[in-house]
Amino acid sequence: MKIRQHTKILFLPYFWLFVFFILPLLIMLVYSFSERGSYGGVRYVFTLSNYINSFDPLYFKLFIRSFWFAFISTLITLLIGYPIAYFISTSSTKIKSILIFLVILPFWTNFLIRIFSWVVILGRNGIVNDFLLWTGIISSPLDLLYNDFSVILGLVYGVLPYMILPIIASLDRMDKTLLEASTDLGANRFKTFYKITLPLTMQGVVTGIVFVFIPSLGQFVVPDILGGTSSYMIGNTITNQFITVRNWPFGSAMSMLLMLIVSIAISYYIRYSEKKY
Amino acid sequence: MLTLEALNKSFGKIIAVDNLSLTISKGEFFCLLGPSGCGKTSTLRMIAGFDKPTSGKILLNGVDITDVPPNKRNINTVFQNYALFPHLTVFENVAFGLKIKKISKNEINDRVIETLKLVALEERKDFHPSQLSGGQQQRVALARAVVNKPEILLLDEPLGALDEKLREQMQVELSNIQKKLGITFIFVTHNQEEALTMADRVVVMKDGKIEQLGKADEIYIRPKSRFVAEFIGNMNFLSGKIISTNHTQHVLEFPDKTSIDFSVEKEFSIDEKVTLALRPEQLRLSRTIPNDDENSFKGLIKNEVFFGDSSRFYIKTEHHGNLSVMFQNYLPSGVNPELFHEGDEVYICWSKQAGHILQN
Repeated sequence: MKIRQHTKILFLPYFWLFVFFILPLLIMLVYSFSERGSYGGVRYVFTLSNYINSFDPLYFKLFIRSFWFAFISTLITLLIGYPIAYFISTSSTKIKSILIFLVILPFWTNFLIRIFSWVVILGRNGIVNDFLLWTGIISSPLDLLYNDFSVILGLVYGVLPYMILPIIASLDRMDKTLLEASTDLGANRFKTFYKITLPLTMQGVVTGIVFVFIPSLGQFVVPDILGGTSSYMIGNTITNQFITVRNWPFGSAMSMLLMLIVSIAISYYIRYSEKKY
Repeated sequence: MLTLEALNKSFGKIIAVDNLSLTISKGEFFCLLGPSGCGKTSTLRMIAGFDKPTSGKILLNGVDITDVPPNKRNINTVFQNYALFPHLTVFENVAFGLKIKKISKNEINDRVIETLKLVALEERKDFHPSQLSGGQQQRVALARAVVNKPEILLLDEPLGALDEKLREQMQVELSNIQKKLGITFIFVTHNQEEALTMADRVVVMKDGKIEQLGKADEIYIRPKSRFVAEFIGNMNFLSGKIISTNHTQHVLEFPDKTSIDFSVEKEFSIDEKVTLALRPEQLRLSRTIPNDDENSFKGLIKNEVFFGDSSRFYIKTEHHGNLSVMFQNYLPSGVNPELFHEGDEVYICWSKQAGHILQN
């Protein structure tokens, strides 16, 4: 009797997953193998042309650039995020909760608005240029906006908390006497970090990388607002196909491809870094 | 040789270690014993270098190491929870300290295997700590420390997490390993039995101070204070004042005006307040009035606690509270024929020569 009741309760999340996750995915899958209708609709005629077109050098370049941007921003996020997480994790309980609160605080403001604020900061008459001109370091304003730099900066800014939080969690889980044991056996701080802390927090790092890499890869808001035409990402093209060009089958095919590549890469990475002990 | 000179450690207003001075000789098996909060672990952590003393000095072979960081001290620790590295195998755990010291691969291999043989874990070298039992983990922790051939090995409640049987076994093993290696062992425990079975010398600590320092048997037989007597083993206390004394024969009068004779070679003054301390194993139960050379109280058996080889009886007396008496369940000839039960009226008897005097 009891088991049956549990099964009934489980039906709800399954239903939810099906309606909001599997069903849309299936619709996209069907679209991606269909033809574009004359007025922007979808004609259900089987074709592989959408996938073949995705490998056109024009779009292929966008895929490569997106992966490159996502990779660079993930790397930068990790290099900035780990020390911040380490600092927060080793702070006293009171300060720690304040710092974690500060990490989450930006989420209270709309992402679009936060990205727009970077335009104000980085623009030719922005805060940074004004300050540099005032100090006399530069004599004419720098072009800080609408290039690769500003896009990567925006990506890093947007996803940094997703890197910091899982690393804090894994640092907190680690038994601190292991660090004493390591120094007791002759290791200095650097060796202790490299041989003990880092391997034992690898799970948090992997989680952070996954959390950061995927949203960075599919970003279209950041390159749209902070990027120039030469720093467009695949997300922009897909959005364009759906909204401007109204070629839904082609947009779906590129989405499916992106998803496939990410899934393969991520599952390989997760398996590779699985707990071996 | 390790010397602690007027060592102090306070955490805010709490004084953990209070002006502690000690000298521990090379090759000694030394124990810091005391209840939790007595400062024994703080002392150990200062010797290891994890905590800095508030004041005072630590000298190793005459060299001041107070400000030397733990990774530069030739001292290793076996942690209470073992603190084995979960991502490394048994071999890698034991090799950790040697690798840090950049010793050649061959030598590392030889020394690790040799040490693992010493703790009988050679065939588990490729296991991860989580795949080992508590006793095995404990031995890995020991191997990981001694493989570095430290001047001093510190052990923080090393047997605390083991079950009774394993603990007895490890007590013997630890003693053997210590003798074989000749390393100075300093261990911390709140378990008096561990202290008595393993240590050459024991220091009993209370409130950050030394209560008594001496050989294990000396502390058991001649405790200096009521605290030590109670902490190590069980003890019955009879307090009163001396009303008559010569070199060896004395009379002790209790508050209820009854008195007993006892003999001990000691000088007392009349009216001096003393406490006669008697171990439960020094008392015997009898149904009949005792011999002339014995003292006795009459009492009623309140409880019997059965230990197997022996039982402990708690006996209520009219003027001296509850006394505990050890009763051997076996005699060399077989099961002890004398039987006592709860509710029996008995005499508690002890020899007039028995007991240890605590002078206030």
